[in-house]
Amino acid sequence: MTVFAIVASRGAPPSFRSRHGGRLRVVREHALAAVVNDRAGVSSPTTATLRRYDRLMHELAERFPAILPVRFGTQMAEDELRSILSSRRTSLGGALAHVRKRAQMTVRVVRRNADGEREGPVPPASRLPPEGGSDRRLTGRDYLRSRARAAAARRAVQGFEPVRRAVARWVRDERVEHRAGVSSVYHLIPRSSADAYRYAAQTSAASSGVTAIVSGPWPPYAFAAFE
Amino acid sequence: MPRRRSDAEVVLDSSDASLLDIVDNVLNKGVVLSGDLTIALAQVDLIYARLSLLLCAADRVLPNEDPDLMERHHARRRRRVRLRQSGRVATRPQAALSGRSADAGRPGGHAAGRPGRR
Repeated sequence: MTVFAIVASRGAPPSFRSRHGGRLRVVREHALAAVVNDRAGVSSPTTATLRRYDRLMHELAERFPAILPVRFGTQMAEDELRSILSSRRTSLGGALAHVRKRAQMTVRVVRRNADGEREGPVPPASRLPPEGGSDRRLTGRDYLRSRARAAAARRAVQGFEPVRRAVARWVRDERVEHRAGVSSVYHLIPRSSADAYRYAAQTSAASSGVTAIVSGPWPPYAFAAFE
Repeated sequence: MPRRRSDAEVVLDSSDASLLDIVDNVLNKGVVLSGDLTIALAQVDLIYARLSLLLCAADRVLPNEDPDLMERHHARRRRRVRLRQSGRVATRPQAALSGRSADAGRPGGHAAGRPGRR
C-alpha cells in the first residue's frame, strides 16, 4: 500500500474519500495514524503525479490539524508500517505536535557576490577550517565551537537579514538549504498568518534589493524530514 | 548596462517556479519511513540505527579462514575462569568498588574484559 502522511489518530476517521475520488484509509497505531491507500505499485514521478500528490497533501493539511507528509513513492506492508509507527512514536509524535496548525512558507534567495555575479555552492560545513589554524590539535571545545560556527554558516543567507527580521514575529522554526546558487529558507508559521507573512517578506525583500521569491503556504514538508 | 540574469533567476521568475517548489517538497522533503530504530531519552533521539536483518546460518556469513571461532571463544572463556579462580583477576564486585574496569558493575559487564578483547 502507499503511505501519504502521518497524522494524529485522535479524531481521524477510519476511511474517507479524497476530493478527487480516491479512497483513503487510516492505519492507527497508538496515538499516531497513517493515511494510506491500498493500491499496489509506485507512481512514476511525472509532473502530473507530483502535482496530484501535492494537491492531496494540501487537502490532508486542511482536513487534519497536523500532518507530516511522507516522501513521495513510499510503499510498504501494513505490518511494517505499524512497526515503524510504534518504534518511532516519540520522534514522530514530537514532530507532529511541532507542526500542529502551522504551515510552511518558502523563500528562495539568489546568492550574489560583490560583483553581482551568481555565487557557487556553499562548501559543506564539515570542511570549514578550525579556528586558530588547521594544524593545532582539536579539543572538545574546538569541536563544539566548529559545530556552532558550521550551524551559523548554514543558516546565513546573504542579504536575507532584513527579510528575516520582518517575518520574525511569525516564525516558529526555520530550515535553510544552499544549492546551486540559490538559498532556500523554509519557515514554519501559524497557518492563519500566511498572508501577513507573504506581504511582509515581499515588501522587505523589495525594499532591501534582495531577489527573493516567496511561496506558500505549503504543508510542512521541510519540517517532516529528520536528519 | 543591464545585469545578466542567472539561470536560477530565470527559473524562479517563470511559471515553473511552483513546479520547482512541488518537486523540491514532494521528492526532497517529507518523512522517510523505513525500518529504523531510534533510541531516545527525554524525547531527544540519541541513537538512530537502520535495521537490516540477515537471517541465515552462521557458517554462511562467518569468514572462511576462521572455522574454529567458537572453539577459540570457549578457550578464552576457560582462561578467564581459571584466572578468576586463581585470584589474579578481581571479581566483579571488587572491581566495581576499586574502579579497575569500566565494564565492572554494569549489567552484563565483565571485570576481566569482554570476550575477544584479550
